[in-house]
Amino acid sequence: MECKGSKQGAFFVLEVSGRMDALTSQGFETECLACMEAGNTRVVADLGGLEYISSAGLRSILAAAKKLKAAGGDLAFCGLSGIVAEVFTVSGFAKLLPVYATREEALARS
Amino acid sequence: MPPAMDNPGQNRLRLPAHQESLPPLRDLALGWAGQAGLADDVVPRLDLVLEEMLMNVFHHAYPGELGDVELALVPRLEGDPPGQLSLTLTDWGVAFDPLAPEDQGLEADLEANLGADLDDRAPGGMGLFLLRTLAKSSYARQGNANVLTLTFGA
Repeated sequence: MECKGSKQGAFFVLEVSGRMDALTSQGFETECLACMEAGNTRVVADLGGLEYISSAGLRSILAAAKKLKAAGGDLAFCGLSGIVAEVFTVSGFAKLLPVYATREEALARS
Repeated sequence: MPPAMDNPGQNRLRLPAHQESLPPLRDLALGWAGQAGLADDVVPRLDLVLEEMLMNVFHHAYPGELGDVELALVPRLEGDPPGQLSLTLTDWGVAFDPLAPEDQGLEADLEANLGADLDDRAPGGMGLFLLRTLAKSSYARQGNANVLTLTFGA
């Protein structure tokens, strides 16, 4: 899994690519915590380059989302496809967290 | 899928039940998926369910000791539809049926959790749920072994 971050207006965008599995997914929470410490609590994770996610990835996302919320921010998602979209749907994460089709839509919210 | 192609006849692999065994077992299963002609949108489900069930064995089958886990290909039967793959996952640890956990509280928690909001959502239980959603599966306790059969595709 790789994360590439950039500030875009009020949001910090994390471009996530590769695989979020039991061996790699902890890195996502770590990235989000680094954003928080740098004062960026509104994070948009663009999963357009993510090929795979398992329940270990969901755990990392859930932990990050709870911490960002506690810090007064939030964690939104865009660009889901394939198995990533399927896992978000069956796990209920697509209802639990804000999910947008495109990055533009994720950045346009208030 | 190069690793399995190096040894196309390999139809089972038994390794220590710890995290380092995940990549070689995964490579073998993905090799079988290629040979079976599993559809492109089904292969990631195999990948996912295998990881979930292996992690389950790694973390829960052998409390306080290290045992083995074995992945085996179920031979195709005449009349099996093309594009289908069946495999078994065996461990010799604590008896556990992932399709019907004895702990009824676990089941209730899982249902409640799917509808919970962010503050109340608990992190666990998703592996078993993904198993039921994304694969056809059956479980048997055979002697001192847990044998989970998984079928994908067709």
